[in-house]
Amino acid sequence: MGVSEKVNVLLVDDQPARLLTYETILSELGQNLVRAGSGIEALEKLMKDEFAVVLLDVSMPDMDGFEAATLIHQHPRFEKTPIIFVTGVHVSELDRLKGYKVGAVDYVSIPVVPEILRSKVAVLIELYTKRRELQVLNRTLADANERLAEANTTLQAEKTRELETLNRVLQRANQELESANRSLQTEVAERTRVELALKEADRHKDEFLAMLAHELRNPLAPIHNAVQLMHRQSFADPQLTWSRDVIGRQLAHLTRLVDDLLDVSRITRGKINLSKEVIELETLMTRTLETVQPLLEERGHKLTVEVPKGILAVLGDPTRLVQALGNVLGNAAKYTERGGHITLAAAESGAEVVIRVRDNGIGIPAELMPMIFNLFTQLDRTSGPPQSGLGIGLALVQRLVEMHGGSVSARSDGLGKGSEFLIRLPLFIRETVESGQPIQQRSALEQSMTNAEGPARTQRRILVADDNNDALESLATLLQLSGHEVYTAANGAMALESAEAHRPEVALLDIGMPKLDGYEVARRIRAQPWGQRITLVALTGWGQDSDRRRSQEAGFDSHLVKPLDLDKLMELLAALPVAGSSAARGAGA
Amino acid sequence: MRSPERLLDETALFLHRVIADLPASKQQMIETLHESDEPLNGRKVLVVDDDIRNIFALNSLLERHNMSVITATNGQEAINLVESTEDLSLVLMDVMMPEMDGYETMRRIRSKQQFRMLPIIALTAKAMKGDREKCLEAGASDYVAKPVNTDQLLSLVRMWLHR
Repeated sequence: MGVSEKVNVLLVDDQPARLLTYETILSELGQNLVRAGSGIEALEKLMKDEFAVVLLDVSMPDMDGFEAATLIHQHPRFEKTPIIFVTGVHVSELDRLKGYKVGAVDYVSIPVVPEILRSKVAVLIELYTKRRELQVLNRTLADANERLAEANTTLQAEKTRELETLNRVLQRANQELESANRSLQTEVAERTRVELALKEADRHKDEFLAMLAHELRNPLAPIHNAVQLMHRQSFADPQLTWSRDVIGRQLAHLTRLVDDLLDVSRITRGKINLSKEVIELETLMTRTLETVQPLLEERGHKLTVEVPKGILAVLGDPTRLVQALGNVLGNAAKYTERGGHITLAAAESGAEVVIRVRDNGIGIPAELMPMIFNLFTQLDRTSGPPQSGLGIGLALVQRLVEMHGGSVSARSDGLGKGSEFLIRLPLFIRETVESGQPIQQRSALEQSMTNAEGPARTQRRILVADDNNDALESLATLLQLSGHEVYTAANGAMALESAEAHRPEVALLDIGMPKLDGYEVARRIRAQPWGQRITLVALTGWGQDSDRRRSQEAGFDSHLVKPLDLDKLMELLAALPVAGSSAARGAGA
Repeated sequence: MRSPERLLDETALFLHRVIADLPASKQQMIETLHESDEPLNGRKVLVVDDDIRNIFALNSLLERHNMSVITATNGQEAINLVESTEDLSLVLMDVMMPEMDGYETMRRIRSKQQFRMLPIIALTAKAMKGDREKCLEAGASDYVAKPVNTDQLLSLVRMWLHR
């Protein structure tokens, strides 16, 4: 313990000599020794200062040691302050007991033994010092605790503030997101609405195209019949013959255009069904060539055909594949200057067959190449040859080929450098033939049209019903020229009457008649006993499977699509059983 | 001015009796509330008495309730301390002192404008009516009869320091 940390020791005695003795004994402890000559003085000193130990004489006048000790120990600051009583030689045990009761910790007897007093006081000082150190330590700890608590509170407040700030930022971000979300939703709704409107407009367009094609097709039928009729006559005036042929060719072209338009719109609306069968590639090519022969001939092109070695077959709808390939060939003929050279080649390539159509025509400009398969894309009319078209041919080709699981591509070295189209179709059957067929080379000029119709082998009694007078008259005349007996009816009711009156072997009924349509007429004829044996043929612009099914359900035997293919009709009539025919004739006679 | 305090005193006594009937836990709650040392904490009080025993006993009592105590054993010393102690909150004045007695001391203190409102509680040995009036006349804010009932004294001190 350093000098600066001296503690106070209170010495209380009414006899100055004894006080001096105590001071002498305790001086070597090096503490502050404070004198008090009475109990009262001791109290005064205590109120002013702290004391580690009180040495208290028991027998003093006025206030004795016991009274002083009692008061001292009542004071909060001195409750635990050790008091050593100094007693005379004749202190009784009772006194001793009383001293302990009021809080004495020890006694020393007079005469005082210096070492004993010194060591007792020293021990108590040591205790006091330790306690004070502990108190200081405690206070330090408490202070530290308080500072920690304060820091904690500050920290928490800061955290709370930061969290609140963060929260506000998040809330604001949230609000911004919500508002962005709302505007996006509005935008999406608007886009959806516009998209629906566009789809609706597109559907209207498709419906319009379908209706337009259908309506265009109707007048084609009587014109076709009329031209066929004109073929049966020989004209004295060669100009008339030329005119008839022009009309025939242009009619065929127009019919093809209208058919293409109809097909595109059907494909667009997903209304085309393929009647797939196994078809040999060579057959496909031959049938296609037949359809484009007139055009090739007209333009004086040289045609080279390379058929594959062996038998290659694909699975597909022959009509549609012929149509697709015919379009590509037709394009080659159209976009090549007169007297050009066109090659049609087919070969096996892995799991596919590749049909190649090459020409030395005007070619395709590079900038147009990416769009040529789009609907309504055409070569610039000012730069291209004066060829007409709707720009649907290649679009139709692509869609038909894709429906068959194939693909179509084109390449050209540019304007004036010719074009090459490749149609790829999945190979279905391959049969290698030992001796490959030689490559056929024939000029389109060598081919001749085989449209001329021979005379009817069997004379039939035929009812023709159509509300379109031109169609009715032309078909009736054609059939009469072929040697048949023909009855005509301009509507459904008349058809029924005529059928009942004449009992024909065959009835060609237009479906689209007002009031009593073809279906109804067929049903009513079939409902009659005499109507069972009549061959009923439907004539209609609609050639879908669903249309055929419908006519079949109404009782028709056959379904012919306008414009009427006369060859087909003739085949049909020729194929009718003779027995039925004679029976019908007997009934009608 | 003094009658409300007396009334409160009486009321407090009355309430004490009622409180005694309350359950222990409630009693403790009320006691804690009433005997709160908050008004006393760290306040400085001057104890004036010529008897050191009394001074020491009051000192013990007041320090136990966390008050800071200064003492004077005569009137003159008391007046000096009142004038020199800036943060003095209250004076406990024994009226029976030799030379300058408590009445005189109080009168002198009150004669100074700045000490008109200083709470002075007189400690009187005689519980006689005339003596009380004499105390109040001399400028005491209140008085307590000797021997001092510590609870009564403390509640008075609290009351005066609470204002």
